[in-house]
Amino acid sequence: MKDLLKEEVGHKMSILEKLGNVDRRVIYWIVVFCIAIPYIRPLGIPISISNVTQTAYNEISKLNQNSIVWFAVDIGVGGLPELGGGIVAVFDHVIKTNAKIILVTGALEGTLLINDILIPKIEKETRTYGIDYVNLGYFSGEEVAKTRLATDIRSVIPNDIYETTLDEIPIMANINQATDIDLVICFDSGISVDGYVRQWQSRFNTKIIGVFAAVIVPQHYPFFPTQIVGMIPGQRGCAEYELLIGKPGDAIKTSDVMSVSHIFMIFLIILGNIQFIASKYIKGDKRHD
Amino acid sequence: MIDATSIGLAIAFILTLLCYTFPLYKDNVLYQFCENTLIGLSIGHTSVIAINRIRDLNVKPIMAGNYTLLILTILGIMLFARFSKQYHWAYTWPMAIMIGGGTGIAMRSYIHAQFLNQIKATMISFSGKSVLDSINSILILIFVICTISFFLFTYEQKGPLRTTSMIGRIVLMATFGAVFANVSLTRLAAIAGRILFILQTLGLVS
Repeated sequence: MKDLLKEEVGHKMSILEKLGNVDRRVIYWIVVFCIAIPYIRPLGIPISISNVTQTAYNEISKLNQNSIVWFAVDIGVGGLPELGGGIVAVFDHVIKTNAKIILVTGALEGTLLINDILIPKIEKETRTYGIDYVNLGYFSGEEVAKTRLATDIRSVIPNDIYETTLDEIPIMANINQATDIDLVICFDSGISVDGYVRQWQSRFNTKIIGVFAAVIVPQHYPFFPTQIVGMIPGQRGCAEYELLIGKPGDAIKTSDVMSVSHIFMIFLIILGNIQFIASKYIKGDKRHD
Repeated sequence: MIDATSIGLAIAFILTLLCYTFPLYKDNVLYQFCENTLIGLSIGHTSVIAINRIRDLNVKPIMAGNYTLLILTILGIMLFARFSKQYHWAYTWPMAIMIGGGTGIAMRSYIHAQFLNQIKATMISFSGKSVLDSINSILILIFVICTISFFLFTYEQKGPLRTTSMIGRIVLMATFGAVFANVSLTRLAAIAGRILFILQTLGLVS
């Protein structure tokens, strides 16, 4: 037993073992450089437009001055790095169509995004609050609230963020249910859009466009194109949208970064698998001996 | 010139750097300070919004004479009985209503939206579709059937069922791979956002 222990202690780590025991901080630092360098020296990797983003763009392009858009920012500040570029790009496009916009959020921090990013943007345009757009702020209750909103908006959101009752706001004069809304644009990093699909689209055939964090894209792909008419998937989709509207922003800047850091991720996965398989064989050989 | 925006940017910059001392160095008091600040701010923000919601949707209507809302208020207060061993039973009543109501509302549309409509979407329609889209539709149909066959546990998986089940298993693995890739994409985007902020603050990126 003692001999065995001595052998273990004295045993020098092989390259494979070293690979399997790399300090995670080394990997983190490499990731930081993989992200920082393409920001400073962009590579200009071309971006192709995917079908889902193009469809979302086409649907928004169809809006006109009589259209009513339910602009649901159901993400928190944590979703901003990924979808921030998309929020700005989609909002710019909707403003350009002259559609009437109802800003709303089912996420607590969504109010911060609306007040700090979207409101200053629309205030720069020649749009009047209460006539061309309104900020209804936060509503609680997730899907139960969405069920009620579908038939009676006023019962869930009685007033806007300035505490003006909806009846006093001109844009809301003829709007009180899902059938009054032409398009829902939902920014989501969880399951918020599911509520809109189940309670608005399924019951009232409301058109929905989803701008999703990549983490929820696979679970929402089956909704496209029958239940969600357009989809902007993650940071990549946001970059595509910026390209479509011709206003390059943060999402396009981040595209190269994502490509480089993902190449590093793929490299790590391959390396990890080689290490795992090789060490398994070596151990197997030892046992065999 | 120092203004509120500059001060805000400086605080955000410093806090971002401090937050990254944990993954890039080790756990330390500065990181813990950031963590506690974030929790405190989040709770503060959430509380203010919650109080406003209770005021608008509960207190104001009751003051205006809508006394039926008092029942809901009492049920809401009963939720706090969770913290008492003696009155814990009171907490189960509003919970039962919430779970029952929530499930009922979700189920009403769930079958239509996520079962019937999904089956309809799986059905092949060649009208107005390109050849590639049609092939895609056929593949989706085959893969859906194979994946469902993987979950047929009441029959021994041999013969044709073994083949479809194996294809289903491969499809599932591909799906998990896609989910993992998307999770990593979201996490990297979060880091990238903060690094972009740091570089912009330092003037290295416009």
